[in-house]
Amino acid sequence: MMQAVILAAGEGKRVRPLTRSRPKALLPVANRPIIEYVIEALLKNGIRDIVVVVGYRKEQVIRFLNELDVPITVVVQDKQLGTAHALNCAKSHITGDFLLLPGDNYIDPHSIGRIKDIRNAMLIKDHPSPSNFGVVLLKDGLVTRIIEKPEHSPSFMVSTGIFSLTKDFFSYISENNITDVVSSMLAAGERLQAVVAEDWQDAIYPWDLLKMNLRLLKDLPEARDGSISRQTIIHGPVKIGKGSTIGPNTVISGPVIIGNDCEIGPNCCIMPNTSIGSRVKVEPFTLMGKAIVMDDTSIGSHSRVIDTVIGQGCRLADHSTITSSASLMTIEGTVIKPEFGAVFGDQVIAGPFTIFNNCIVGNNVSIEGGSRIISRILPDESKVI
Amino acid sequence: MECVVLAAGEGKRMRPLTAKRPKVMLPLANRPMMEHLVSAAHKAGITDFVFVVGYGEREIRRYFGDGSEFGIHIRYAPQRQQRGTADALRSARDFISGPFLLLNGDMILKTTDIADLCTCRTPCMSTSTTDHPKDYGVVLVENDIVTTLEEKSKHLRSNQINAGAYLFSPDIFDLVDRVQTSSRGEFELTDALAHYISEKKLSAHKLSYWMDVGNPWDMLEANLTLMANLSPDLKGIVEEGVTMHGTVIVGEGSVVKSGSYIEGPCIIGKNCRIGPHAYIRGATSIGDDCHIGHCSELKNSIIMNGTKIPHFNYIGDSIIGTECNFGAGTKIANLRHDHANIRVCGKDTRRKKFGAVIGDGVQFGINCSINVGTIIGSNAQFAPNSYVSGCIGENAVIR
Repeated sequence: MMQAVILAAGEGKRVRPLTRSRPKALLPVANRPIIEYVIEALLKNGIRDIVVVVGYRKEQVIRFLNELDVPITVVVQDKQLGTAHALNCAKSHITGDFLLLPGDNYIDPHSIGRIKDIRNAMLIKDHPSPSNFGVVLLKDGLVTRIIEKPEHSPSFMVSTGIFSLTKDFFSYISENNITDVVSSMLAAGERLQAVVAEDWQDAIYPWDLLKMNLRLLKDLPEARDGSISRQTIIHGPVKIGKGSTIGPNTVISGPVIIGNDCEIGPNCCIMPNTSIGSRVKVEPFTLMGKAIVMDDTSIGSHSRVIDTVIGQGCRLADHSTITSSASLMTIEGTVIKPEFGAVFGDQVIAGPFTIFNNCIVGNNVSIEGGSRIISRILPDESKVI
Repeated sequence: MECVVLAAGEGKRMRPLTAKRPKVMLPLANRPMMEHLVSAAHKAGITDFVFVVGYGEREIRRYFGDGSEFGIHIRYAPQRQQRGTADALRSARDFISGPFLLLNGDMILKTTDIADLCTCRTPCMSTSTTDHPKDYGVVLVENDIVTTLEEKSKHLRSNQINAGAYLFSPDIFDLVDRVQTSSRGEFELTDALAHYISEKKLSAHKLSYWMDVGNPWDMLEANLTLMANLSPDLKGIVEEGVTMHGTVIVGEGSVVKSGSYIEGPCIIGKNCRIGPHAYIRGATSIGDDCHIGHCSELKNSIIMNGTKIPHFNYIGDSIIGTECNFGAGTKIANLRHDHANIRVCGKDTRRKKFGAVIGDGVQFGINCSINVGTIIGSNAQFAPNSYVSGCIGENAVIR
């Protein structure tokens, strides 16, 4: 029986501030943690013997895994020393051939089907910014070289981090990084077949979650629970959870997913590609679109929330305005110029009439009303007065 | 001969109709699906039944009891967790003394086919043909011996499929014990059969008729088929000025009032009030304690017990649960303008005409419009004049 190892021990530093209270694998996209899509893709391929390596904020991952219908073996990596080290922690549970997958990337079930019967194989995919990944060089469908995060990439083909391997792979582990292990495996003359993935999504930075959200909302099944006003106008695939109340004259244009026990409207406008968690409150006359809003957040009336990721338990007062633009910022030592509206960590409190533009707001930040946060990164716990 | 009937599953694809009852207890021609199967087996000479029960066990026991009312003997084998067909069969082991029939509880079979199956050489699998074999286990047969069985195969080599009715000797239990969990995480009976197939020991028996009820819309066709065998029987009161054509059955205590027009086949349960001026068209089953009132038109539908469709309603090609109430003027659409197949929650029903699947206790205000292919969960509520479409969950409210 085929086994699978999912690596979910890392924090995902470049996705801060969202990863302070949860690892990247647990970030909700289309209202489900990313790792759930990975597990689901494995189950669809009949792979049920699953080992998950946890580490950073492991209690949260374990709690989530316990709620699943399938039994999952959990292995703890005490220090986050690297992906190969994480895999090595699971060594005693591996009996034969296995799949290795990152828990914080989306992969479609079909792609897993492409490699699960090949040994050794790696799923690859072209990416517009290959320098963030392990870049692969190919010859006749085989990997000849893998270069981890090169400054000047010789190719656009990158490793998805998804491999189909035999137990022999463990004998090559001398470094802490999977890419290095793969390099020494190639150096030893082993064949590694490269198979192109159909749909693979990784969020390097927090705003990349919005793109992943857009993709994962495509398959949204329509469902109406909760209490919906007859004067609500709903177009396209819209999923509304149990106990949520949608007030009259609210327009929801799918794909949109709304969790349980939310209170939305009256007179709100929710545009496509929006995922709203549970117990979220959206006051009247607020416009939302292309956004991820996590649980227990409330957004005041007359606000504009577009191109935005908001963490848990935030309170944005009325007339909060978020607009998009692109400006230079440095994240984990890399200078980039991303275009997005705003990213909020957890428990951010902002007063009325605040303007946000292309900014990252850390956890527990409080902002006085009438502030303008433009092209800035506000560290955790800061106060804007 | 003993007969094991597998009736432990919920039938998730039948939701929301399975909220209060297992799939095998869903009514077709006003009797639980499983009763039709059991009575066909009874007529084929079988009197000893073992029901493997799990989800909704209470409903099954309450209805069938020890079987004496039906002239048969029933024992119950509880399967505590639904872990697949092989596991279900395992739970019946202690009740089996010799060769036995094994039937899936959710299909319709003919008496003659069951009688023929009983005379086959064990082990034997019944097969049937279908126009959508990809949903079943496809079998290849040579000289009446099954050579291949492929579950939900992508490359279909035949339209002959495993019908889910078998004749086994008790040595099947040894094979069943060796079954490992499948990729679906279940213990599958078909994995146990692989051993027989590899030794070319599994004989095949082709059924003359077979119907399985996988999705709610399959109930309409099964209902129609089962009603064809009925003969007219008027037990209740039929007032003057009622017109009836074809086979019409009216149960005890029911009243059909003046001006009603009923085109058979139609079956009306006990203590119903029909009319005045109700129009009931072919292949409609109405349960007990229902009210179909003035100017309501029903067509090719299944209405379960206690549902009220009292004034100016239209219901076509739909399945309605128990204790629903339709406000005056509430109607269900059953045909698309482009005449395309109707889809329900993304699934193709392969029907040009299909209305809605409505759970138990759903309440509609007046003049609601229910679009084609709508699914409504139990106890949902709708304000007057609501437009209802898509997949509505349990307890949802449109206010």
